[in-house]
Amino acid sequence: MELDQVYRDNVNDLYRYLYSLSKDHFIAEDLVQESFYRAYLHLEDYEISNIRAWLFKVAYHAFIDLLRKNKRFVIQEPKEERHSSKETPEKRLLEKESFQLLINDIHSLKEQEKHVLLLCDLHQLSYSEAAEILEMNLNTLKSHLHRGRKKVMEKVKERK
Amino acid sequence: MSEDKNQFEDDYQKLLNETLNEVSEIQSYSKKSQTEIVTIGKNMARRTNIMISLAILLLIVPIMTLTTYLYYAIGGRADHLIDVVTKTIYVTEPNMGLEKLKLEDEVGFFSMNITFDVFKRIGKEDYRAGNYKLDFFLDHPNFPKKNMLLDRPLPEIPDKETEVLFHPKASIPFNQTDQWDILNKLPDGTVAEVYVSLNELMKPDVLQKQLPKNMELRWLAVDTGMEAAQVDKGGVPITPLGYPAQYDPTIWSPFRSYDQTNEEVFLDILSLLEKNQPVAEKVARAKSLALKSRLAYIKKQGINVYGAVITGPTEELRKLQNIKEIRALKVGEVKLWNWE
Amino acid sequence: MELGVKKKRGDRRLPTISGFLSFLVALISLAGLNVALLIKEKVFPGVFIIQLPIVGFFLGVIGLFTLKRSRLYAIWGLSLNIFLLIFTLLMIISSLGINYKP
Repeated sequence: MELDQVYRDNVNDLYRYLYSLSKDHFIAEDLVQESFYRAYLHLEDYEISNIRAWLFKVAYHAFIDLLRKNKRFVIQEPKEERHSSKETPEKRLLEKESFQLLINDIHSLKEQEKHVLLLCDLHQLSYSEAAEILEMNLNTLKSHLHRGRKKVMEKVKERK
Repeated sequence: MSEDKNQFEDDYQKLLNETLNEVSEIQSYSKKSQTEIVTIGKNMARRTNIMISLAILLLIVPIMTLTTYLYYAIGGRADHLIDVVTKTIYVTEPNMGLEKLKLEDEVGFFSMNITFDVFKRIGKEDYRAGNYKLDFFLDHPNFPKKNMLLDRPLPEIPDKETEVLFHPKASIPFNQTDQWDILNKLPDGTVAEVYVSLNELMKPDVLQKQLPKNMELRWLAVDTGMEAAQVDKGGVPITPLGYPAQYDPTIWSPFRSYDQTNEEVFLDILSLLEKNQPVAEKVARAKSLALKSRLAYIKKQGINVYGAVITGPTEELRKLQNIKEIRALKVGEVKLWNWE
Repeated sequence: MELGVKKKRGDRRLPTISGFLSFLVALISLAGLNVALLIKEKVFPGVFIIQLPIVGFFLGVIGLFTLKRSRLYAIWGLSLNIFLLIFTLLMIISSLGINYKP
């Protein structure tokens, strides 16, 4: 089935997105699975024109629901010890220090700015797609994006 | 200012692109696990959909059943309907009673059907006269399915020609001597049920005194102002209204009452039926009961009897021929001796 | 319990086992009940409307409080089992209210 193929092509992107949201490999992995489950479950409910954007939306909601269910859930720094374990997708991502730094910078932003930056910049979704996923006004999104980028740059400069 | 802005935007884009380039080659998942994740998700979703659909489908029957039961149980709706049906029998069918305790009910989807046997007292014994099956759709009854076991049942559709009890002012369609012949030719040692019509209206106790001993007055037909014409105002044939003359020891019989006379119970039943006339009219043979005007007439005129059902040994019943108040007689059921 | 603490790999994905079992038990009970209602069985098979739903109820409760994945099955299982128990109760009460004979 064609849909399966499209879904398969997006597994990695979705994982990276969810990892960048949760900063935890196991949660991200669970949520990837959950997202595809939901994507199939609600397939009939939506008019899907843009599958990639729709999958991101499902993933975003899966993450938000997880936060809601577990109020005490704290996004934590990845622990070093985990690197010693066998090769995981997380390990491969963690090896890229600049990616890790960028995520950390983005996470220090305000909630909405964080989501906008993750979607628009880190995962290269269009403004309108991101606005649709976050259920946000396009202009609001742009101003969040602008402010967020500025703050990230300030942090980058500080480090240097 | 705009220079500044562009500068930082450019820097940002550069940084971003560098980072993305670094990670873009990384394939977090192998082709195999990609397929696995999607397949698991798909199967799980499919299973969930199936289970939820199944649950919803399986809920339909229990919910409909429960709704129906609650509908009939709340406020005693079913019992009320059963009450109306059984009481209709007592006051519209001459010399007929039933055992309410043995009434069976079955509740289906938004419907209930009740079945019960009716009995006639012939001589000293109660004989099963037939069986009623009545379906309700919610509180709306269908015509009952009757299965009568009588030799001489009353016609299902009442008509002036086939009735058995006649008001003094109504003409009698059958030949008198024929009926007395039947009674005379029946062998002694049988018991019979006879319908007698009187020459004039009289009080129940007056009638009782006129009768020879050794027979039992079973049912009294009461004048309601319509019996002379035998039709209601719209011309629909009516049947007699009346009540059992004797105390009825059957459990749950409305006429098993120590603190009310049968006359009082009769009037109570009529007012109950008046409020539930559509149900009563389905159960009764007559398609019109016109209870409002008939009840008002009885309340105004008192209970006056124009006919009765009497049972006893055939030889005793022959003595009725000598009673001048009796205008006509029609023989009903005959059974073998059971008198003493 | 923080989610981050949970590191065990494996069956942590998707609906919990007990929730799933609860749902399954409820479906079996419902199927049995449907058969009983449709063939107009006078005496209800108690196992489908009392014993199994009670088992399913507790499985559902366990499924609900296990902080694993989706509670969808547990919620469905729990609701259906509660429905079955309420159904039993209401049917008993209303049967007594219809043509009750001592």
